[in-house]
Amino acid sequence: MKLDPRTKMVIAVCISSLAVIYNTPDKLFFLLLLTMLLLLVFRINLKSVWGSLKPFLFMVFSLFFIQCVFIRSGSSLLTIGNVTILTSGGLLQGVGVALRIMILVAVVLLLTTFSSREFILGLTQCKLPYELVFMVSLAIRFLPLFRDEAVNTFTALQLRGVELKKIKWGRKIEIYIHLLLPLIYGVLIKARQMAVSMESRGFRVYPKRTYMKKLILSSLDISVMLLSFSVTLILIVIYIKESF
Amino acid sequence: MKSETKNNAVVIRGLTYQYRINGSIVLKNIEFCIPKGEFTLVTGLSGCGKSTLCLCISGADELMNPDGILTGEVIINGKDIHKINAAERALEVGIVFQNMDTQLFSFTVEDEIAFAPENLCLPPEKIKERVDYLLNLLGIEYLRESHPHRLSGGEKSLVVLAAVLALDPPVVIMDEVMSQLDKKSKMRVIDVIRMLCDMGKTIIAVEHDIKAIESVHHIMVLQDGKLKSFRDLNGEDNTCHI
Repeated sequence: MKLDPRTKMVIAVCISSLAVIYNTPDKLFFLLLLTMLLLLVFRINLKSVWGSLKPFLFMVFSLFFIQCVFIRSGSSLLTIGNVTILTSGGLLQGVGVALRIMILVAVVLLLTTFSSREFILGLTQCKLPYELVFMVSLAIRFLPLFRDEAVNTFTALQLRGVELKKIKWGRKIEIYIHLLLPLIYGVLIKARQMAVSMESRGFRVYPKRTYMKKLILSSLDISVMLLSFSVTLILIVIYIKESF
Repeated sequence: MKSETKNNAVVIRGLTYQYRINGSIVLKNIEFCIPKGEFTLVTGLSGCGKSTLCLCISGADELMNPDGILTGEVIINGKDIHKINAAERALEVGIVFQNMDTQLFSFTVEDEIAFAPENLCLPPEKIKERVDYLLNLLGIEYLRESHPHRLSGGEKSLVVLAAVLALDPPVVIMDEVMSQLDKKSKMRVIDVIRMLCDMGKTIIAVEHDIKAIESVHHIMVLQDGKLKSFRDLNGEDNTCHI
């Protein structure tokens, strides 16, 4: 299904809002299923969801574990001696947090179905200042440059005979602190060169700018946006009524 | 003096550039002029002031080194480059720096080329026309939807050049664009420079490898911030007396 990036952003905002508001595993599980279904509709391979989730697995398990151990509500599920290790409330909270992270990762994948250019266009056409949107995208773009600079610096250090793996952590931190300054300096020089290059190509010479391409909302986009907003609003109202 | 300014694309009068921070003088009383549509190669040892000269000619010196002190005049097509606004400056002179990665900030090649015309509020149809024209001119149509950072060094330099040419500046400066390119990519860039010269653009290129460029009109040698010589390929002095 070909939808405007703004429509997908609205869907993402709606699902994320519900994921933050809901705190019971059943509702969050339903939300995760719905997100997966949407990913299938937008032809995203579900294997890629697993691929994207992998780097977060440690965080998911850590949070799950912390919630299980530290939240003490409901009935006791596991007791060693006199100490209660696991409670039903803690387990439910742990599962809830894990599901929430999985939903957010899946939602991010939804945002990868359009290009960064469409992202900028979409937000600027929503009247967000171009400079702000461009800066955010530039910051994301700048991260690999920063990483490359760091990798180069550490490689240069190791080529001079410093075996970082064999050094104790205390000394290692000392070395990292020493390298931080040249690293930041190098990045700042790159940032300045980039700024000069942008300004020499007329960046911000006028308060407004034109765009070669323009996104156009179709009637399908508007319908999906309205549907997402209304369903989310209804679900939030129901949830609030249930809570009180 | 007026006719000198009229016939020449670049006129430099008594250009001296000094860093306030340590007082070092990088350029010392430089004077020369380059006629419209000619190709000048700037060469010299490292630290002789080639890149600073490029920055001064493009007017980017104020942006790159806010603490620098510039005296003298840099006239591009009759306009003092330091007295015109940024939009006018962008239309008069384009500069390509050595590090390509810091000059690519869009997500597709097409967007990279469209960046400058969009900033100067050109109508969308005109921007598209210019992008298509430049992609064809530089033979990089096949890169249209590519991510600029995933290209080879030669391709990146062509993309940056196309992005700079998007505003159709009559003067184009290239600061060691070919220094990190392999022979094949270098030849490709040289072909493009030749083509630009044929189109009437004034090109100033900083390069160490003088042999690589045959179609040059002038060779300028800088030494310790001073203009050591400014000659054509026959060895004739081309410095115009302003």
